[in-house]
Amino acid sequence: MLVCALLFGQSYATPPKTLNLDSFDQVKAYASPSANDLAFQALNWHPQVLDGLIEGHKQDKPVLMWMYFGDPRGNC
Amino acid sequence: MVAVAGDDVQYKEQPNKQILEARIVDKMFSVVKEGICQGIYVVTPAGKLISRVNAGWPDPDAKQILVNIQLATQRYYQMPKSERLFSQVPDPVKDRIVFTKDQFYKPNGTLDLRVTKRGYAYPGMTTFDERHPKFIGFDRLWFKPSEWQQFFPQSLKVGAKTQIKGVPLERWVLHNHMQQASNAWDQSHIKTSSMVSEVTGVNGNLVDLSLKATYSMKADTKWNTGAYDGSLLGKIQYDLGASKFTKFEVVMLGWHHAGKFLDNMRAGELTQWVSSYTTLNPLADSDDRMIPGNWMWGYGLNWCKTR
Repeated sequence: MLVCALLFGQSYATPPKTLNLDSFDQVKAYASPSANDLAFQALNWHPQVLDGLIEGHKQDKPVLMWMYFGDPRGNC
Repeated sequence: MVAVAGDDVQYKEQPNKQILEARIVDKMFSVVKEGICQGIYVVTPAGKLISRVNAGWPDPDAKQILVNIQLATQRYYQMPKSERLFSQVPDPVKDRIVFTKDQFYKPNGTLDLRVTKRGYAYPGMTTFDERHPKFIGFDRLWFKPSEWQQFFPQSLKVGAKTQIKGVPLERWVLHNHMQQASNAWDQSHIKTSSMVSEVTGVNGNLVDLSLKATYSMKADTKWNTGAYDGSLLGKIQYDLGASKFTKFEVVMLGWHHAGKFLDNMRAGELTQWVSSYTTLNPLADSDDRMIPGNWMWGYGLNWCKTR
């Protein structure tokens, strides 16, 4: 697990394999997003292409389109 | 740059090809042999595809992608404005595609939860496989009032309990809220399950509940031959005066077996510990405001029509 933590650049304490009130907070911390996991949410992702194009026109900026089956932020 | 995150298949399959947004997207991808497809692209607001900027497989090469974006941006600003911008800006209402998912919404009083999910490390794992713990999954989990009311015992005295069945018990696992990966489960795959809610405290208008559940699942279909064994533990608080949840924290932990080995999806050991954390949706960004991933096959459009 330590090797994995170093590889990820994120500190994962060895997560527990039993769930009770004592281990609740540890499992919660493990499954919670880190600042790195949330970095992509710093962008204002428009969910519809037309909205992005109109906004790009207003600001005269290129539009980055990230297209994936089911929306890249969701499940495939 | 302006950012768009969308579903290429949704655009390809939507039937209204004459509406302006559809015509812009079709023309944009007419230069790609397959038409619109998965990828990261830089386009002009007027709808011209400048470049596909993906790099690296299976791990994205972030540095190369950034270089590709920068090159595309340079090309953008080298274009005359008359070419890169609309000559006539579309109407954001009249010219937009209305997708089926736009008909899906939360009934009043829906309990809106955010779920984050991550697997544990396992032997032989690589980032080719979505189960790798480097990846975290996000989703929304909704319970409309007739569903979340079942979490409450009839009596709200300390020690009162209730057994919970049906949707409030099953949605957690049928919609993959226990694990990062997405599998096709149905009710027949739940071999055993149980959920109990208990009042653990009452303080004025504030009622505290604990939620405990266990699940044992085994699938045997073309799309899913996996198994899951796990448990759920929750701490809930409801304000009777304000008629709202003030706290909702649920953790799930268990092991998942991925079933048949598929070399186009899997790497390493097929059994893995998986965990998730569910809390009140903060609705802080566009991701939080997305509808649940399983809106079509798990909830259905009729779900919205009643409370």
